[in-house]
Amino acid sequence: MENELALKRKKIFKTDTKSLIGAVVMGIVFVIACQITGQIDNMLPWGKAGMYLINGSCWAFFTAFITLIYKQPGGIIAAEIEALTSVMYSPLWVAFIFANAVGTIWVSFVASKYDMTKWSHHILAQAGVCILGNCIVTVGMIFILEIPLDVAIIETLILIAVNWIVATVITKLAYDAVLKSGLVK
Amino acid sequence: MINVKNWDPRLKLTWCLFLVLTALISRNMMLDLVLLLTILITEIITEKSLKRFKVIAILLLIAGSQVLIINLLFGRVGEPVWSWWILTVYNGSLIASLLGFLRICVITISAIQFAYNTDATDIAQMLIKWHIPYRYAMLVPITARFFPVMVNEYHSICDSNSARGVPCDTVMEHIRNLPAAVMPLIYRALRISNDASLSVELRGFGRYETRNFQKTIGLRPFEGIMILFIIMMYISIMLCIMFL
Amino acid sequence: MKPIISIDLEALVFPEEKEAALKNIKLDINQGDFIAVTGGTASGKSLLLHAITSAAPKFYPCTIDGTVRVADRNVEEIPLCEMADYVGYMMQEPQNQMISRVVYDELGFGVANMNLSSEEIQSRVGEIMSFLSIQDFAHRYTDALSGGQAQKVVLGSILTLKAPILLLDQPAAELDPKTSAELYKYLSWLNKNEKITTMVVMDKSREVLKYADRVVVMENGTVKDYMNTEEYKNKYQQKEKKRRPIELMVDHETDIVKLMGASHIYKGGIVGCKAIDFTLKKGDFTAVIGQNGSGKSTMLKLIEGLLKPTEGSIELFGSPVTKKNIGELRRRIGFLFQNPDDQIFCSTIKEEIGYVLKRKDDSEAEKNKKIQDVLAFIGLEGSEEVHPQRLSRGQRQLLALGSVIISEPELIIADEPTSGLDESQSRLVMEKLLLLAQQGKTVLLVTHDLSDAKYFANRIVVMNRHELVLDFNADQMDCFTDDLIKMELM
Repeated sequence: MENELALKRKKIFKTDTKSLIGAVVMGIVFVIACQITGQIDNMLPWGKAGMYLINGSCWAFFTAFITLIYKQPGGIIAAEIEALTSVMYSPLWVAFIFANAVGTIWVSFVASKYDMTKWSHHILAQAGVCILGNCIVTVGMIFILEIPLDVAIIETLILIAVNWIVATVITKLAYDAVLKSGLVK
Repeated sequence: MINVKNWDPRLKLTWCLFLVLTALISRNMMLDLVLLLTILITEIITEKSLKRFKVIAILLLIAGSQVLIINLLFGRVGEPVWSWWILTVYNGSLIASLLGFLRICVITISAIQFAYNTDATDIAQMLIKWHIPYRYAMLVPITARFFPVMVNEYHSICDSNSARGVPCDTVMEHIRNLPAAVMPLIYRALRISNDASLSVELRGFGRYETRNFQKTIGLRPFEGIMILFIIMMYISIMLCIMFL
Repeated sequence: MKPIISIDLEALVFPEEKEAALKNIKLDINQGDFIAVTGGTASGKSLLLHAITSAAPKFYPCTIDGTVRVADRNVEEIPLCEMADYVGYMMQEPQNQMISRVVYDELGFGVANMNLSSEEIQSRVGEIMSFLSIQDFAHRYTDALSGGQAQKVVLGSILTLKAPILLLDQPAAELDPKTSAELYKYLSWLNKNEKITTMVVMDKSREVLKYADRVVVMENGTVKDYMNTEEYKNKYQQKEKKRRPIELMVDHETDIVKLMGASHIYKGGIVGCKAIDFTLKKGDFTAVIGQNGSGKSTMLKLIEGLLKPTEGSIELFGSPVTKKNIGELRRRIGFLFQNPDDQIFCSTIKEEIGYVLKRKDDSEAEKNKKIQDVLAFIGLEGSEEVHPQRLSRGQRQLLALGSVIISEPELIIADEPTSGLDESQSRLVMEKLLLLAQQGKTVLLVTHDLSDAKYFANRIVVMNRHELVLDFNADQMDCFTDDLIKMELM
C-alpha cells in the first residue's frame, strides 16, 4: 500500500513488482507508439528530411508519463527498453540510451518537488525532457550521423519548441485521464 | 554452422561493444568498412546467409540517403566539386555522409547481431552474474514475453478502428486518430501489467534473494581468452587512433 | 474440524469510495470443499477471492475491518509472495498471467521462485504436464497458445505449487463448451483425489454446478446465501430456459450480407474458411456458432473487409465489396468486439459515446440528445462524466455497444460480445442486442455460447472445421441436437 501512495507522497522510488512489470509493459507500448509516430513522420516532408516532430513529441510524452506513473527505477527501465529496442528502427539508438535516461531522471526530479497537478509542473518537466533529451540526440546526430553542426542546431531548436508544447499538452491530459481511470492509484 | 547461441552472452556482448565503441571513436572510413565487413563475414560463417539483416539494411539505406541529402544541401566542408544555381556540393560533405553511413551500419548491425544471437534468459543470467537482483534481471525475459502480447493487442485495436470506419487515409487523419490507437493500448497495458504482477507475486516472485533458473551460464576458457583478446584489440585501436 | 478458510469481514472499503465493497461477511470453508461463487454484476465475487489471497489490501489498496484466515493464519501477516504456500489463484485472461516465453518455463516459474532443486522442479513440472496432457506443447511459445491451452498452462503453473487451496475466477469464461467441460473435470479430480479446496467464481456456462458441493450467492458485497448445490438449483436456477418468442420484421427481399462461395486461406496454406454461402436478410437476428478455430472469426473478418476472400465474393447492402467502397460500407455497419477495451479510449463516458458524432454535422443540441438517448438505452444515464475504465467489463461492453449504435448502423455485427462476462452481464448485453433487432436493425452475432444463440437469435448458422455446416431457424434447434452434440457444441 505504501508503494501505491507513493504517487501522492512525491517519492522518487517505487520498487514493487507492480511498478517493475508495469514499466516493462508500458515500455513496450512506448516502443510501439514510437514506431507508429515514426511512420507518420516519414510521410511528412520534414520527416523525410530527418526531423521527427511527432515521433519526438511521442518520445517526450512517454518518457514523462511512464516516470510519473511508475517512478524510478520504472522510468529508467521503460526508457531503456525503448532506447535498446530502437536499434530496430533508428540508427541513433546509442544516443537514445543517454537521452532517455537523462529525460526520465529530470522528470523524477521535478515530480519529487511538485505534485504534478498543475500545467506549470508539466511544462517544467517537459522542459527538461525536451531540452536535455534533444541536445543529447543532437550530439548523436553530429558525431554519429555526421550532420553539419548548423543544421543539427536548427533542427534541434525546432524539435525542442514543437515537442515541448505538444508533449506538455498530451502528458497532462493523458496523466490526468489515467489517474481518473482508477487503473493507477 | 557454428551455434553462436550457445556461447556465453558476455563474450557476445564484448564483441558487440567492441564494434559499437570502435565505430563511435573512429574517424576513418577504412576502419569502419573493415568493421562492417567483419560483421558480415562472421554472420555468413555462423548463419550462412545475411537474411537477418534484410529489413534493417533497407532502413539504414533510407537513413543514409537522408544524411546524404542533408549534407549535400547544407554541408560546406572541403572543396566544391559541383555547382548548379544556388546549390554547391562539397567533397567533404560526401565523405562525411559516407563515414556517417558506415558508422550507423556498424553500430546498428552489430547490435542486431547480438540481439538475434542472445536469448533473453541468457541476458538475465548475465545480469545475475553481475549481482543484479533477479527481480530486475528477470525483466529482460519478461520484456521478450510481453512484446508479442502487446503487438497483438495493438493489432486488435487497429482492426477495431478500421472495422469502425475510423478514417486513416491521409496523414492528418492518422495524426488525428492517434489517441484512438494509443490510449486503448495504454489502458490495456495497465490492466495486463496489474494481472501479470499479481499473478507472479502469488507464485512467490521476490520471496527469496535468489531463485533456481535451472539453466545457468558459465564462461568457458576459450570464451574468456576471446574476451581478453577483444579488449586488447580495442585498446590497441584506441591507442592507434590517439597517437597515429 | 477447523475451517481452512475463515472470513469474518465487517467491511472492505476502497479509498475515495463511500460504500464498502464487501460487508458483513462471515464464511467458513472446510478442507476439501468445492465451492461455486455466484452473484450479479459488481456483487463482490472477484473481490472476495482477492480478500482471501490478501491481494486486497496488499495489491489493491483498501481498508479492511475484520479478518481473513487461511489455514488458521491471518492473511494480513503473510506477505503476498508467501501466499503461494496456501493458495493458488487463477484469474481471467490467461495470457495476462503467463510470464515466461516458453510453456515449460512457465510451468516451473512458481516452483523456481521457491528455490527448490532442479530435480524437484523437473519432477513437479513433468507430473503436472502428464496430468493436464500438455506435453505436446511444452516447448511452444506461450503467446502462440490457444485460449484453452493457455488456461491449462496457467492452471498447471499454479498446481506445481501444491497449494492446499485453489481459487479460480471464471476460469472458463472465454472457453468453448468442450474445453470448459475438460477444465472442470480436472478441477473435480483434484478436489476429490487430492482434497484440494476449490473456490470457483461461476461463469455463465454453470458447468461448475456439476461438481460443486456448495454455492455462495453474493449480492451488493455481502453473502446473501451459502447453501448446498441442490438447494441452490431449487431456489435460484430457473427451469430450462424456453426460447423467447421473438417477433422480428425480417425483409426477405433485401440482402444485407451475401457471401458467395467465399473462402480464405492464410499465408502458409492455413485454412480460415472454405466455400461459405451465406445470406443475411434485412431485420434478421442470426447467430453464427462454432468451436474455437472453426472459422467464425475468419468469416467475420471477410464481412468486415479486414480480409479479402481468396475465392468467391462478398456483397454488402447489395454492392460488391471493393477497396474503394469498403470505407463507405463500414459506416453503415456497427461492430461490437469481444474485448471492449480495444475501442474505448476517451476519458468520460459522454466523450466515448459522442466520439463518432464529431465527424457529423449535427448541432450540439442534436448531438447531446442522441448521447442522452443512447445512455438511457444502455442504462448508463447519470454517469456521463465517469471514466469508462471505472466500469465493470459488462458495462464497458454496453458502452462499446452505445458508441456503436449512436451512428445508427443498419447492421450490427457482434463478435463474442459476452465472452469473459458473467451470466448477469451477458444477459444485459444480449437483451440490448435483441431490443435493437426488434427495432428493425439487422444483427449478426458470432458466439460459441449456444444458450445465447438459442435464447436470443432468430436463426442459427453452425460452422465446423472451417465450413458452414448447418443453417436453421432457432425454433428448430431441438431437431439438430445430435449434430450439435457431435460437434461438441452441447
